[in-house]
Amino acid sequence: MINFQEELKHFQPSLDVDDIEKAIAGIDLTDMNDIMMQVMENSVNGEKRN
Amino acid sequence: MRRGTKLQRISNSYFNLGLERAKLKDLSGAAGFLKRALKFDKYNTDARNLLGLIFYETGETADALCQWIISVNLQPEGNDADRYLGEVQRNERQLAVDRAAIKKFNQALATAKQSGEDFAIIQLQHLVAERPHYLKANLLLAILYMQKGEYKKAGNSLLGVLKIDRNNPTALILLDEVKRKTGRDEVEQKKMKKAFSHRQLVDDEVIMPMQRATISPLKVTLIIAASIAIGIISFLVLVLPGIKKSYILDANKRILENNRQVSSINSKYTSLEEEFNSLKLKYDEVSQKLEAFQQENADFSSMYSKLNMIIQDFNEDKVTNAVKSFMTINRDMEILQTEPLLSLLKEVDDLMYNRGYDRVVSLGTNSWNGGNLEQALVYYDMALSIDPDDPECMYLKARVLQLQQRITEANEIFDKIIGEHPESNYADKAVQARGY
Repeated sequence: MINFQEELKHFQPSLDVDDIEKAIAGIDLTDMNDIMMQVMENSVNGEKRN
Repeated sequence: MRRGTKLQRISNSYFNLGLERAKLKDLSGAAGFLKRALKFDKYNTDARNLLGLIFYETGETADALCQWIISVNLQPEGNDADRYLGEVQRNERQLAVDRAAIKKFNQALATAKQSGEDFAIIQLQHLVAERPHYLKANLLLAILYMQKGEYKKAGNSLLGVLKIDRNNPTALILLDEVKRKTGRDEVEQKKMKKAFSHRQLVDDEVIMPMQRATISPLKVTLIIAASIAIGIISFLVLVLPGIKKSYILDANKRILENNRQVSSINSKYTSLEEEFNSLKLKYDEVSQKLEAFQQENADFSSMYSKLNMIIQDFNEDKVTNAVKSFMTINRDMEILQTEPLLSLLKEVDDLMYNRGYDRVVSLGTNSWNGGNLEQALVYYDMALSIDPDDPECMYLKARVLQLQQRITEANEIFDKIIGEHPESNYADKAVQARGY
């Protein structure tokens, strides 16, 4: 049974063309490469502290 | 900078899946895979551009532009996104229509959430008539129709969505509800039974086309997840220790090098310190010599000036001044033993002895005669500074002292005349003056 109000809640407004700049600024471009680099840095820094 | 080929390969695998889905018009599925591709490698330009195209196809123009702009920024050269952006911006009328469509949808959605379903339906009907590919608008319209009980219209909207995006999950769920509500689901079930029975097919029966043999997304996902896990574990176990070891070795080398440099610096410092101490000793020695030299120079200048002033005063008949200065000459100074001061002093002595002495004695006698005994004493002392052993001047001074009732001092001088100059006339005079 479809709950109209629940389904309606799932609908989000579309991004306005005028808000593209703000949207781009807020986008998180972190990918697996960035995460792996962070892991390596933390690992090396951990060795240095030891 | 592209780094980590393993991650690139994973990203490309997802891109391939997304591309396959897009070709099959499963735009929702494609978008899902493409987003995952970008999670592994944000520089996967093809994935990002295709995602933008999917957004554009489904009416989300702003989202499409976002992806293409990011794509161009990450890869400025040789990027199709540049062309897409150019085409969108060139077609200003279409862009204006897209912009207006988005605003209308957002407005209709707000209206629907505020229980204005009827008005929202009207807005959306106009909207989908202009933009039939705007999936969200179609879906919202479908659900509003369903709320109103207008399932046929809802079904039409949903079929329209599925034409564009074959496996749109929302559309599929809503369509199932529509079929249930309209009884269409039972009709389809019956047709399915007939299709797989051994009876001869009749005209109104539809043979379901064979599905393409595909691997299920779940299996693909599991395989890829396992590959990733193996890759990460291999990296951590095999590659990272090597990197760390190499880093530690480099670090140790740097530490050793730094220690060597520190030792070298310490050694240089010690050497420099010794050199400094040696130079300081020499400096102190030279400073003392310079100071002595400067003092000598000062003494020389001072004495030279004094002697010349004595001569000048005497020539200007300032005898008293000349004699007073003469009396202050410190004859113990070593520089007076060296030229030119030695000659200058002799000149001054000659001047004083030959001419100065008589002048001051005369001045003394004049003062005595004038009743100024004190001044007479001053002049006689001046004379005695020039010639300390002159019995005449000694006698005259003693007589003045006698007159001043300074008998003891006078008698001392009388005794000195008698003792040191017995053959002099003034010896007898001294005896007489003394009275014994």
